[in-house]
Amino acid sequence: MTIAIALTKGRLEKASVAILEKEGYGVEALKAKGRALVFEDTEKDIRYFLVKPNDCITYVQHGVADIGIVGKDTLMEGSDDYYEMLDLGIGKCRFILGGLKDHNPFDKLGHITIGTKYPNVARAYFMEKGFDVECIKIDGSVELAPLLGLCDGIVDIMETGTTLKENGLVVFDTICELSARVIVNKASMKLKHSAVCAVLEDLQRGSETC
Amino acid sequence: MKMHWIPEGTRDFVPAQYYVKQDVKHRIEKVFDAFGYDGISTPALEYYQTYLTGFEQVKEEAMYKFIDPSGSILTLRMDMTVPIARFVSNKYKDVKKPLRFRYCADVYKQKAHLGGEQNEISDCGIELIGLNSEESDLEVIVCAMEVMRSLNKHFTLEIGEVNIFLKTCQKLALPKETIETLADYIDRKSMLDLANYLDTLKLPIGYQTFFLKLPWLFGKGDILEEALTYCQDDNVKEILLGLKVLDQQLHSLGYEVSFDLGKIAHLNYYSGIIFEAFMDGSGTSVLSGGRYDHLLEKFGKQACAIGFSVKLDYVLAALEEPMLEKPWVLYYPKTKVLEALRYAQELRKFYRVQLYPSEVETLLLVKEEFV
Repeated sequence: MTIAIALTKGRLEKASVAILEKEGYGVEALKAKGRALVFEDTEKDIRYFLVKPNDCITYVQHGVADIGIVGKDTLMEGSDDYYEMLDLGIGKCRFILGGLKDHNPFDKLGHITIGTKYPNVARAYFMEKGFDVECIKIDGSVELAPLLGLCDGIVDIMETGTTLKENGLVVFDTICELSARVIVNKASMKLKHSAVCAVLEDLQRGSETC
Repeated sequence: MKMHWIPEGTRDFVPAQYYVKQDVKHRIEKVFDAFGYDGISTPALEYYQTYLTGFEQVKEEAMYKFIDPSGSILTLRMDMTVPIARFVSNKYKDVKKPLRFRYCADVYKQKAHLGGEQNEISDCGIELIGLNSEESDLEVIVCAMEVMRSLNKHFTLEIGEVNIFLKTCQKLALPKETIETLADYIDRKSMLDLANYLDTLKLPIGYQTFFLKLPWLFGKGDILEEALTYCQDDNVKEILLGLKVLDQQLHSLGYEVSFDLGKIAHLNYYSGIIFEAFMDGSGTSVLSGGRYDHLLEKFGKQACAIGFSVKLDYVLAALEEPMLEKPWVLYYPKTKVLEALRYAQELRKFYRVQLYPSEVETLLLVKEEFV
């Protein structure tokens, strides 16, 4: 029974492939990829494909992929019709509330605007804090928005904080810690139970010794 | 030329697709009919208030809403269970004997924008009203198994019981919000979130282990045995033993089922067993249902109930489109139209016949093999 795994391109790609390799999966093709998007495992009955983070959820929810490896940031922003089984502990970063020094949005009286790539996460965070804010969707270089006066603060992911610092922004609060998760299609979990669980066990072991 | 699209989440069906859908529908209805369920229909529109009464939490963004001339909010029905609860409470208020109804109707939910999901789905199901868990759970599961068998594809039917989770929460007297958060994490098998959240709750260790184990307690009947070792409450123990009996009964009738004790219906009206069936080729469950003993009382009738439905469109996703058999074609010269109609009338006792006026000299009957 072939298992299809959707891997997230970019930041998590290398570390995910490393875990698979360590557990004896035949991921040579993934390491030496050209422009191919679909890869066959040379050891096991597994097919991989590389996709963008949001698409990873989409493929898993539709059952086109049985298993997906994707960042918790993407999961928190998107829909949730899948099982979230493992934390791989790779691609660690956090969601933060940032902004210009001395301009903490929580201290502002009146209308507050927040620039973010993650409007759902931002909304949930401020709702929890009991603050009514307006979220503005920004697609890239979110740090720019408060500098130019578009918004009072940003909600974004932060790995080291260098970009933030270089742009003269500070962190006001950590919203939560993030890392790569393994998600599983609900039907696959039931119909391909043993094959899916075998991969999960390998990933778990691989991530612990990483 | 301007092209007219169909709304997001809806579909047109060409003949081959329509044929499969009707075929699946007939197979399912044949099973329902053999179990003695009578067909009914209800309006596609319901008052919004009806759904507010039926569901404890209404997913607002999922509902199609309209305003009628008097200012009342109408909605396209989201399911058939709530309308049938309303229907039965209105029309069979004082009927004591059990009622068995079946339906096949389109239901509507607005799903995530551009998610590739269907907002209009044909739902084909049954409701058995007036018999309690002991009296009807087994029979209804058997019916669900027969329905799945009639579709001729490999499938798994999986049973859960909402009280395994709820009774444990009750014993701990957890607040509603905590129960909701726990339910969400367990149902989605969101293991890390669950572990972190349990740490903050500081529950007695036995309970913490129980909640942590719940999402992993799925598989064949032997997981019920495993669950007993983590179980913290006599009520829950009784439920688990009940499920074991159910498993044995099904087994002796020749049915194999699975269990998932981490299955917790968000849907709020379920009150006992809940079950889902998964089928090869469909990425989502194709059949779902459960016991809802307290829904009808909200509409004014005290009655236990259980039901399930098959989402036809999810089944279709897993089936091949068939080659449709072509009808016979009778070509006729324009002067012989009456003769052609009379001849076709005779043929139609046995065959499908299409008529075509043509440049032929005399009547010509042709059959091509396939479309």
